[in-house]
Amino acid sequence: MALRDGTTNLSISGAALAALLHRCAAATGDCDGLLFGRASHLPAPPAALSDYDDLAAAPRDPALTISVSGHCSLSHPSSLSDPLGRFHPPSSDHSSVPAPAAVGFFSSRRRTALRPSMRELALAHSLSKTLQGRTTAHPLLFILVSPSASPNFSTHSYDYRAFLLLASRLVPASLTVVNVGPGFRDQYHAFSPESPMPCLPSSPAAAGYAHTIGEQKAVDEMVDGFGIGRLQGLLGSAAGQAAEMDDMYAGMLRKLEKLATEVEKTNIRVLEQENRNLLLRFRCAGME
Amino acid sequence: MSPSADAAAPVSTSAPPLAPLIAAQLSYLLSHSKLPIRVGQIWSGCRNGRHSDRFTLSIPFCLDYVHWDFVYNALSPKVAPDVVFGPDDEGFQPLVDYAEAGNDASCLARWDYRDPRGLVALVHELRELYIEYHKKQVAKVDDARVTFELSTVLSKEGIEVCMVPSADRPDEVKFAVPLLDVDFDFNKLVPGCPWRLPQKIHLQVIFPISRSSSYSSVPSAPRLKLTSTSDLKSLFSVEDVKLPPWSNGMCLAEYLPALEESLNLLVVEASASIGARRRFIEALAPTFGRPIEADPIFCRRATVLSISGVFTFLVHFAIPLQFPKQQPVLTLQSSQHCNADGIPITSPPINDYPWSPRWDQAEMVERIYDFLTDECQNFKKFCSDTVTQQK
Repeated sequence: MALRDGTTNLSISGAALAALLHRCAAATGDCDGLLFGRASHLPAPPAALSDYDDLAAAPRDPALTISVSGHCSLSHPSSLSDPLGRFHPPSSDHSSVPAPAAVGFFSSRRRTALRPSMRELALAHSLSKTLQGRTTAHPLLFILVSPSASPNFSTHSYDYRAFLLLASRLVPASLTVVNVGPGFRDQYHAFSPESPMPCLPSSPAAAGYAHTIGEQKAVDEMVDGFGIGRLQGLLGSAAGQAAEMDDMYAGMLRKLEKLATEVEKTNIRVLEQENRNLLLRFRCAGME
Repeated sequence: MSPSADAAAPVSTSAPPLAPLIAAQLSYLLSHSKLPIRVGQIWSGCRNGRHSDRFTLSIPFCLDYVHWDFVYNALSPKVAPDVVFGPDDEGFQPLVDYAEAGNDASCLARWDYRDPRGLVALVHELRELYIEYHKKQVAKVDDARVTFELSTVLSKEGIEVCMVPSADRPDEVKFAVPLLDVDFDFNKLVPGCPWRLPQKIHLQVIFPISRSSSYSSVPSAPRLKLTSTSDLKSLFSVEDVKLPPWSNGMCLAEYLPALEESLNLLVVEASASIGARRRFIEALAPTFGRPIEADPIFCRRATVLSISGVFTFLVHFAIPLQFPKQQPVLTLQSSQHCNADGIPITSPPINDYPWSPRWDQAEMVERIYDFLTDECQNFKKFCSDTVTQQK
């Protein structure tokens, strides 16, 4: 009972899907988490360019597009809900609400049927109610993943299926995986650039303008020790000084390098902690 | 992907052992539930696959079984199990209904992973909800007769109904009506009864749903069938019960009382028949010697050792449920002759010897003894011939 074409387009970027499947495979047991992305009502993309006008006569209805760009998960089963399937945010602070960009959730169950379970269905209802009014109205998205491996772990398979919560049922829907290339040009009609760079006055005449600490912080997030004055100068000059640009780029790379090292270190610590947790769980389940 | 559990599959030997806390819950369920629940496949959902933590349970519903997957997590023992229902039950949403009703009396709300009674409570709770769900589904059927039947018999305790979808025929509605009292205990009729589960007799009634286009004043009669739990077959055979005819325009509420009354009589008769069979087995002793084997509870089987000259043989008595109306079936088995496979030679079943139900037990045994005195010579010859042919 798939959805009719043209009502809702579901898509996920290849990288986001790979990250999601990796998360599901790396978890020791089952896991679940929130899906982030964007839902928008967009006019249908123009039909392929044609020399003949008559083909493009009838404009199609605006279609709802839901594209998944990422996920967040605690690598733990049933981390989003209580045993009765009522949504509660995974953080300790229960008053905090999920980020407004949540479009749905995923659940990974090893070697089980690709049908929503009793609790997933209840969670879909509960999460949908929580998200109501906070985002563009759209049906809640649910991705069910079922990883499995051959007995000697030589082959790993990942079955997944997307569902939309429509009329209080989770209805299977087709999910497009978006990769880079001309075949996916349609997707870029939905692209709207969003830069974290602060919007700076571009005119050097405003040199006396005292920039705020917030603005400096925003720049520091991308490159250390590159004064906002210099950035202003860079943006202001029409020619674009190559040396300054190179300097900024090198600074950005250094910053990335530093972040990568930090991530590596913390990853090791996370892994150590997870192994300790695993031992505790073994003890708790009486499986030592 | 979902393992089918149609056969009463024994626990798969290739699966790793269940995690201890889950195994405790499952074994508590199997030993304490009043329902004949069966375990299908058991498998593991851990990455390392060392412990099993999910299984399929076949749960009795409406004289059939539904197969539900129970999904635990061996490495997250505190997390309550989740359930995946069958592919046709996507409308069954017990937790959504709980949320809408603001009900948190469910056993899941106070799930204690150390309590072995958790699973049995969950299974029974979900089965009750499932029965109610199907009653609501059937109530939506647009058929005057089904609506009427529902309004009159649905209050009967233990009744279950469901839709029977079929591709090539119009849908049907199945009623599973428990007969006799809900607390009628067969175990009390039979001293020393070994049955652990309560035994039941059900009337299965299948109503065809008349298509609204084909108008007829008298709806066709439903298909009726008596069924019983399998253990009951050694006491009482529902196949022998003749169902009263269903007259036109009848309804279940009219039909059931007469059936229940006659069934009650038959059940009492069946339990009285045990006494007759027991006296028959006891009467064997003076003539044949003490039986070397006998069924002490239902008294359906007895075996004696006999000697004619130097020929030693066993006589197996299979005593029918309708004893003494029907005579016991005799099978002779030689203690001295084996066939080519090394199996003792046995005679075909014998049930055409002289018999009258009016004889008393001692006379029955006498007559059988007289019959066997001649018959054993034929059997001895049969055995010798078989052995000679092999050489």
